Amino acid sequence: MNIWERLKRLLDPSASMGDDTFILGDGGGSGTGRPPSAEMLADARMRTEALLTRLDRLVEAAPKGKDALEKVGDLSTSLDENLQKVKELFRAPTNKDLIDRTILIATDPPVRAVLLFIEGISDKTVINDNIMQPLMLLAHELRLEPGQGDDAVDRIERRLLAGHQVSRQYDRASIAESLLSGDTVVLVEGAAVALAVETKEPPVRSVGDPKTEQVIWGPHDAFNEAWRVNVALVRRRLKDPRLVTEILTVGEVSKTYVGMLYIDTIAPPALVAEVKRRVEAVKVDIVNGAGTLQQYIMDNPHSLLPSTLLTERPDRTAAYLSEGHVALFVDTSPTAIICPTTFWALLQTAEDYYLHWPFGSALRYIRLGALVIALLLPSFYIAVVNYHPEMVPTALMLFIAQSREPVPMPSVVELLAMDVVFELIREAGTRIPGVIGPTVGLVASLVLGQAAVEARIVSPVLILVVATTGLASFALPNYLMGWGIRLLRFLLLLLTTLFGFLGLAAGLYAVVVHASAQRSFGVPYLAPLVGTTGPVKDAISTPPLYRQEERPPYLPLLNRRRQKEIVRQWDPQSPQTNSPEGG
Amino acid sequence: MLRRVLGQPFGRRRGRLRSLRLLPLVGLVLLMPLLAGCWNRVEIEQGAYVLAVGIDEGKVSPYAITVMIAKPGALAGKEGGGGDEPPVLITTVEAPSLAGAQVILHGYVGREVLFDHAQALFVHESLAREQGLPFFDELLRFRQIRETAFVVVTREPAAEVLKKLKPELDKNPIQYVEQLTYHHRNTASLPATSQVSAVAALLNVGYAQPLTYYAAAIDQESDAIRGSVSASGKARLVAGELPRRGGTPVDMIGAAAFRGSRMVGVLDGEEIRALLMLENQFYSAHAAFRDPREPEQFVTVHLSKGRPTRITVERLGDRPAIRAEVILEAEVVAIPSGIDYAWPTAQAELEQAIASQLQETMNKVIARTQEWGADVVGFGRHAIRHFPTVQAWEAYDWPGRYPKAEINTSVRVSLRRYGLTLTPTRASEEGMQR
Repeated sequence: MNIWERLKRLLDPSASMGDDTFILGDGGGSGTGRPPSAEMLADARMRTEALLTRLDRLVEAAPKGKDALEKVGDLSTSLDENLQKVKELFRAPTNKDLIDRTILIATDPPVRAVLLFIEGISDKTVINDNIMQPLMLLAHELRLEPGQGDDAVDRIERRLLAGHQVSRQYDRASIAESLLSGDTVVLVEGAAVALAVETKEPPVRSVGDPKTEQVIWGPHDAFNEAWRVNVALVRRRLKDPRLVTEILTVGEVSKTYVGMLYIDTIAPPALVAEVKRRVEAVKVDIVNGAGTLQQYIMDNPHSLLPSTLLTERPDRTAAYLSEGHVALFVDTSPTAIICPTTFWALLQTAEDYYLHWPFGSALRYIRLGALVIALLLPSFYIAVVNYHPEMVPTALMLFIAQSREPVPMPSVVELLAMDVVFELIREAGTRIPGVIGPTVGLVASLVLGQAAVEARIVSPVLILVVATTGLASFALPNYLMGWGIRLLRFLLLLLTTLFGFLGLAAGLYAVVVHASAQRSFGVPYLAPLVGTTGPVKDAISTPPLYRQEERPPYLPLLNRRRQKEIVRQWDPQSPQTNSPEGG
Repeated sequence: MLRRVLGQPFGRRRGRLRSLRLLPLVGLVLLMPLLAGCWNRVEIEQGAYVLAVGIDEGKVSPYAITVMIAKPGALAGKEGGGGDEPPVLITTVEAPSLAGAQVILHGYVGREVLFDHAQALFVHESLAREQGLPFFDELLRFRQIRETAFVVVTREPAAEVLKKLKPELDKNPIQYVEQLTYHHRNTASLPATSQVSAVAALLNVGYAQPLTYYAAAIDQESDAIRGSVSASGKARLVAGELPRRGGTPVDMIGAAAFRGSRMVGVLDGEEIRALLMLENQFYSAHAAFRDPREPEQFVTVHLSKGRPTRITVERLGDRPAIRAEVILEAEVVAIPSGIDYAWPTAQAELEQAIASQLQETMNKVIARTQEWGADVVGFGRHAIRHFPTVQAWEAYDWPGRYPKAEINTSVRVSLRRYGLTLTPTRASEEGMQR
């Protein structure tokens, strides 16, 4: 091969593609006309066979009554056949995760059995001590009548399996489901039923600190990836038997568990039903956490304002549950989805309630100010600088003018450039590995703070505007909301650049109209300020806790009052501490 | 209608045509930016901001218009604007109007001349006396001038005053003038307001006549203390005659009185104080009065409003009669004569003396304004209440009757405190013996 050939091959590999080049598919064609591969056929045959067996048995069992119908499955009485079918289903022995262990149960007479479990997600100690040990070593006293498979299963379940949750499985699909969630399945010779013993132990990290919703006062535990742990964190705060955990499964491939929590008699039944309907209606391959699920169930996916609230705080979730909301826990996701949510909830934090109410209210006003700044300040600046310099006092106008004098770019370009730099720093700061993190801060302060101004590429006033806006957008407690506001800010900026204050006013008007027309799970988005009647409490400011006597007015609750009007009652029987002689 | 334009869709292309039907609408929406447009967009540093406008009589055009244009770098710069560079650009053009002046200015000023930030309007006294304020019409119609700009009548040509306006403590000359106007509340020697809107509001009504600020440029070269003596025997506090040496060579104190749009006279600071008391716009001020027992000496007191001034219209008709009652409080600040006025009898004497001297000034102000036929105090505001209709009021011709009106004043002063000490300081030997 000469140099020319090599260069050609380097520049255009497809031109000189030989037989030794591996090509995968035809690059996104529909694939029609190709014969279904052997694997597809085998899978279909397996499913059809199971289905047909089940159908046959259903027909047989139909006259025998309800109990018999429930026990219909596609398992056979032959242990070898069952084992072989399950292994086929799991693509074993190619797939090394399915572990099968054939044992002889030490009953009299001994019974052959197989233990099945998935490597890595089941608890080996429980399997060894509570399943294998009783079956293989402690079963001597158990006398079985030969050939009675079902009877043997009964006795094994009742007397030998020392697991705390044992269930019976009649078909291979449910066996697979149990195995995949970490259970151990025991197949017994001669019985068309399997026993699933609960041995779940998925890899889990321990309960840690909140990452995005820190508080100074208040609990520091946060949800993690195990949804059962998350539910436990919430249940610890709400010791009420009415707190219901429903388990839904989403995703054809992922089969992700979604825990739906609500308090019966407080949460509106219509809301519970609607949340359940939306979650169950999701038919996708994989739901990879709360962030994904909320996109499938939110009201208006095109809106820039988030209509679901994600929180990683169990105390916040408990508070919302006690107010009649529904919480969704997606397995493998360290956040809960609160349905419904209002705009104001996105501006609140748990700390607002832990502090004395004046401070909580002050915090909320600060955040409201941050919202206004984050949304409007750059547009306001451009409107003043490009269209309405008469709006600001003369001294300020002259100051802005002199700071702009050496800058060679129009102020919009200047602003956009600095905004882009700011976004770059933010994105780099998020993605950068922790070790070199401080570099970003250094570069950012140099680029933003000094170099740009000294090079007279941007004016110092503009740096102030961009930095204040950035600061304000980080003061917004909700991450999703921060993004929404940031994008809306750019839209408003575009309008302002074209039309000045007229555009800004029109854009703001459109945003407000859009927000007030939105709904989240049937609740007006700006409630309780818009769409409800009655006094507004706990939306923009937070009143003293003893005066928050009612649950939120925007939910059709069965019982609105949550505490008595007089919270701290005077009891004449209680011992009086101050005696007349007292000092 | 759109459907008729594009014709009825048919067949398989129906869907595509339906979206085509929206095309004109989309096009119109896209054209909208061109309507409102960013045509009037001006980068802030590309504007030449006029801080003040001066109006004098012109030679080739009706007016000689002087503009004071800010140099942002020198006015608001970090380095202090550089020693010798003046912070403003002053230039004069002759034009029939401000907008006309803008056209001429655009012939030699590179940046766009904008009047949005004009804060003061200086008018030469002779122009105001001879032609009045005919250019006010433009001030109310021309969008670039703000109505809160204040009007100052200058004794010298406005261009000269603007040129001399080089404050030593401030950088911005107009900020300096603006700060002078703030003294209204604690010296009461300037009219309460002299904004374009306030003056304009009084041009068409008969119940009161406008008052504007009055300023004068003084000769910087002369080192002598100038000034004249007022009727009360003190130095006259009027622009151009302040007894002083050094400082910025522009004074602004006292006021120019107008009859309609014509200027008719000048009131000094002391007269303005009396006028503010009658207008019920007086808050507090230091004031000196002749010592009743030693007429060569002065007693300085801090006067403040006691009760709102009450003005009663006692009679209308051919010769209207009006009574004004002013109630003040006073605190002694200085009695250089050393006389102990804290004795009850002496206190009454001092109160009486202050009251009568104030009343004297008031009567003099009223007499002068009656002579000018300009009701700058606004007694007409109280008279107008007695007329059921505007027609009746206009038929009454208040401006014509004001000179003949019989206006009685009464002043009551109560001494409240003697400062931080009750008795006089015994500095003199005479005092030591007593």
